[in-house]
Amino acid sequence: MKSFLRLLRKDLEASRWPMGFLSAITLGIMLLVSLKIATGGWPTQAAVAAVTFPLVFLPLWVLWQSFQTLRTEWREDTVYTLLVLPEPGWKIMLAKLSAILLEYTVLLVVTVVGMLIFFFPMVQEAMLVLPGAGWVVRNGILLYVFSLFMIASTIIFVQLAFVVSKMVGRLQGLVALWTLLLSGWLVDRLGILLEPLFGWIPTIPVHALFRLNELKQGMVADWNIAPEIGTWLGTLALLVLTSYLFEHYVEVNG
Amino acid sequence: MRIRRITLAVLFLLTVLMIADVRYLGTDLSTNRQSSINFNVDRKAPDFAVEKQQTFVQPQNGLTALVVKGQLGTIELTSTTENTIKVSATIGAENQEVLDRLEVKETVSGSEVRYELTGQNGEGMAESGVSFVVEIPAGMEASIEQNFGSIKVDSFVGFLSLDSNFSDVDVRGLEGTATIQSNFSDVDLRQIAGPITLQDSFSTSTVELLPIDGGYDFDLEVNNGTLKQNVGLKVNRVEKRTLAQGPTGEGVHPVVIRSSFGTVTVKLD
Repeated sequence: MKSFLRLLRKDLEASRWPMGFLSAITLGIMLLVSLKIATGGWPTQAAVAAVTFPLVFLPLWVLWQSFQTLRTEWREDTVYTLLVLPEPGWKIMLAKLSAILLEYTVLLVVTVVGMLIFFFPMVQEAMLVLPGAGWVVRNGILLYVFSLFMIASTIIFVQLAFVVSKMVGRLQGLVALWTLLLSGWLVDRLGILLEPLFGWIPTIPVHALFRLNELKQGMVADWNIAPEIGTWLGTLALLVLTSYLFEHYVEVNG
Repeated sequence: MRIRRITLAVLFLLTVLMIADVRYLGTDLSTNRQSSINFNVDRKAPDFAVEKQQTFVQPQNGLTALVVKGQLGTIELTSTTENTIKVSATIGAENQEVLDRLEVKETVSGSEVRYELTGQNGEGMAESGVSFVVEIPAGMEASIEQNFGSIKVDSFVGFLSLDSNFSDVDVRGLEGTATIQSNFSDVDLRQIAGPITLQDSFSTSTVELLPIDGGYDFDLEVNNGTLKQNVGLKVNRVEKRTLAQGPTGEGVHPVVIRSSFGTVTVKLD
């Protein structure tokens, strides 16, 4: 566990400057928009854009960061150190994945806090049409947890693509892109093929989980997870494969 | 060097499999995959605490088109042999104060007469609603817009245009032309004799056609959904699109269906 935490800390330290920069940019944009709204220069709807912008940008940043954390190891030749460490590949990959999830969480918190600081009157207004603060917090946390799983899948795909690209001599960028595409297709097809095996699993009542009836009576949303399970298993298998390839076959000089 | 060759071989093999899948199997597998999330909104009209009625009787004269806009209620439409337009509206609200503000407004503009609820002062939609019972002379053009409710059309003769969101649409007997747009709705069209254009998304639609002189010309396209038909059309699947085209008889009356994320059933008696 200690070694995992050390690896995690190393990755977090490496990205503290970009994180700080992005947090400052997010808060800066929100401050600017709130000042413009306060002086009547911009309509209040601009607040929505100021909050939406970082939220839309976050997944793109995660995609880039998943690639960048590995690329940095090669660029700065620290991959030698990583590979000689008495640590299994999965621990290294998992530490990188966890670091990105933590960074995502920090940026999300910065966005939410910024929204509460700079656009509190508008948040209060929005709360009037929502069932209550407890409902918003509960559903916000649930959505955050779901987003973590989706982002983790994306990171796993990118990690595999990068590691595979380091196993070929030339056209590494193209191979990485192609692997990204193939891995997405592969887990999707795995989900479809394995779906009959998991047909017995009951659907998840999303409306009850998110208490949608408090928003509007009669809303029913059921999530049939049978087609997803194969996809999730496939994604996990890709994480194991990436770790194995990284530990045993990756080209340090590639 | 060996691992490089193996990597490239695996990538090549997967690429071939992917191409074969997309080319030959992809759509079949995708079609068999059940939708992960099913979303539904109960369309039952709420029981309002207070209600009032308004009735409009209008001689047809030069009027050729009728527009009715409803919400959270039922719109019933039928054709008659009389030359009179009869509209009976039931307005419902959560309390008397809201109800007092509401009224159905009749607007005549050229050859069109329109009925819609007015006086909603920004309160939530769930606090008020309106139901209509409409009788119009055969041959007129009727446009119905409905949100969170139901539309019932019985023995209609003329030009019918329906726009429904989160609603149940039930048409029994139509002689004429129908243009239907639906989102998140259940559309059930029975005993239809005439050209029809249906555009739906996230809806379940059934179209039951009656045999007609001149026959039908089918142009069906379902994206990310399911198409069932007993017309005997050849079905083509391209990516996530299901296409079926072709005439019956002389193919005079067009039946055009465009559906996304829905289930479409087309039956010809």
